[in-house]
Amino acid sequence: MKGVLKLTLGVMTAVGGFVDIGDLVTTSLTGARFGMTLAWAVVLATAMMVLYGEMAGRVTAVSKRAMFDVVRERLGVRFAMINLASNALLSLLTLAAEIGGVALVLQLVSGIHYLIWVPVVGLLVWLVIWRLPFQALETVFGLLGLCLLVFAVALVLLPADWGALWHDMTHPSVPDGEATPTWLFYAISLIGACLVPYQVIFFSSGGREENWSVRDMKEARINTLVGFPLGMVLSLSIMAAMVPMLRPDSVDVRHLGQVALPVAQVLGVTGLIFAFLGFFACVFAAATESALSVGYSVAQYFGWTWGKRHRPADAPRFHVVCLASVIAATGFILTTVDPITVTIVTVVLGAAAIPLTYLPLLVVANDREYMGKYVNKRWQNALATTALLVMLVVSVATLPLMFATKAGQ
Amino acid sequence: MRVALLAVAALLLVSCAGPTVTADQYRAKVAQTAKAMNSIVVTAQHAARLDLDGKMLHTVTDTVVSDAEQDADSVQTTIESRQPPDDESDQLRQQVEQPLQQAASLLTDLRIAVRDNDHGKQRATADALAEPLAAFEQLSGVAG
Repeated sequence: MKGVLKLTLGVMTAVGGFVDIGDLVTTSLTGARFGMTLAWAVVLATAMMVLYGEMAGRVTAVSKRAMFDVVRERLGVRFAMINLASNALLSLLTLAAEIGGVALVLQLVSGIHYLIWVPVVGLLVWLVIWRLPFQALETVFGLLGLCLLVFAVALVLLPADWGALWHDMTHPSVPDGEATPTWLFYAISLIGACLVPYQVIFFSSGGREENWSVRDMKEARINTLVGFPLGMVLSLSIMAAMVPMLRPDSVDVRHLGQVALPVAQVLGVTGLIFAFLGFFACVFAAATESALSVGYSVAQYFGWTWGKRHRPADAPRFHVVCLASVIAATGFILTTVDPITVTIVTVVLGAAAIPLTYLPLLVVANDREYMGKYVNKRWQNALATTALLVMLVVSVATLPLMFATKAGQ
Repeated sequence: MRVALLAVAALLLVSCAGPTVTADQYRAKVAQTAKAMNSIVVTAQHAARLDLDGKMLHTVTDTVVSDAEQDADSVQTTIESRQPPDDESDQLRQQVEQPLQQAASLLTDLRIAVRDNDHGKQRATADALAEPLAAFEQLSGVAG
C-alpha cells in the first residue's frame, strides 16, 4: 500500500500534466475530427516525457537540488532568466486556463455561470497551496484523477469499430477532406499539450519536497514509467471515445460539455458523475501544479527558501509569488476571455517554447560535477538528442502552421 | 474636423461589413458555415435526446444547449457580415440564411424547453432540428 501511495507523485503529475484542460480539449477535438490518426503524437510526446521526466527525477535525486537552481548555476544567470521568463509566463497562462477550466466543470454540474465560480476556484487553489500538505495534495488528486478511466469503460461499451481504430493508430495518414497543414497543426498541439513545461518543474521540485536522494531513484523511475504512460492511456481513451459518437457527424469539439457526451451515451448519469469528478481532479491538480511551478521556478532562480515542506512563515516570498500568480490568473479569466481559447493559445505557445525547458535539463544530466556516475548513458543521450531534434522541429513549425491554418480551421 | 469625423465613421461602418471576398472564397465560407452549424445542431440534438432518455444531468444539458445557441448566433453573425461578391453568391447567401435562422430559432426553443423541463416540446424541437440539419449537410458540399 505504501508503495502504491509513493507512486502518486508520478500519477498526479501525469494526470495533472497530461490530462489538464488543454489535453481534454485537444484530444477530444482531434478524436472527433481526425479519429485516431493523431494518436502517434500522444505516444511520441509520452515517450519524450518519460525520457526527460526520468532525467529530471535523477538530476533532483542525485544533486539534491531542484531544476531551476541547477540550471541557473550551470548555464548562467542570463540564460536561466530567459528560461524563467518563458516558463513563468506559460505557467501563468496555463494556470489561468485551468482556473477557467475548473469553473467550466462547476458550471456544468451546478448550472451556475462559470464567471461566478472563477474567484471561488482561485481562492480554493490558493487555500490548497497554503494549507494542504504536499502528500495529501498528491494522493487526493492523483487518485481522483483516475475517475477518468470511465472514458476507457465507455469506449469498451460504445459501438466502436476496433479494427478501424487500430488501423488509424498504426497507419496514421491525413483523413479525406482534411488538409495536411491542419493535421500537422493538431499533431503539434497534441505534443504541446503533453509536454507542458510546468510538468518537469513540478516533478523535479516535488522530488525535493519529498526529499529524494539516490536511494529514491528507483521510485522516481517508477513514477515516470507508470505515471506518464497512465496519463497517455487516459488521453488516448478520451480521444478514442469521441470517434464512434462524434466523428460520424463531424462534431467540432469546442466545449467541455461535448467531451462528456460519449460517457453519458453508454453510462448515463453515473458515468457523467465519474467523468466530472475526473475532470475536476485533473484540471484542479493542473491549476495547483502550475501555480506552484511559478512559485518554484521564481524562488529557485532567486535562491529563496521554497516549498510546501516549509511553513508559510518560513518561505514567505515563495508563497507570495504563488498567491500573486493565482490572483493574476483569476483576474485574467474574469476579463471574460474564453478559457478554452486561452487553453489552445497556451498549448500552441508551449509547443513553440518546449526546447527552452528540455535543453538545459539535458545539459545538466550530462554534467559529471552534478551527476557523478549517474550521468546520462549513451543510449539515453541518443534518444534524448533525437527527442530534442523533434522538439526543435515542433518549435520552429508551430507558429507558421498556426498562421497558415488559421489555428487549425 | 467634421469631414474627418465623417470619414472615420464611414471607415468604421465599412470595416464592420467584413472584407470583400471572391466568389470561390464566399462559397468556401458558406460551406464552412454549414459544417459548423451541422456540428452545433448535432451536439444540441445529442444532448437533448440523452436528457430525454434520463442519461444526462439536467445542468449539463442546459449548458450544452445554451452553448450551442450562442455558437449558432456567432456563426450566423459572421456569415451575415460577409459581403457576397456577385449575384450567384447572393443566391447562396439566401440559401444558407433560411436554415441558419430556422436552426437558431429552434435552438432557442430547445433551450427554453430544457429549462422549463417540458419533455414534449424538447422532443419535438430536437426532432425539428433534422430539417435545417439536412440543409446544412447539402450546403457543406458547395465548395466542391
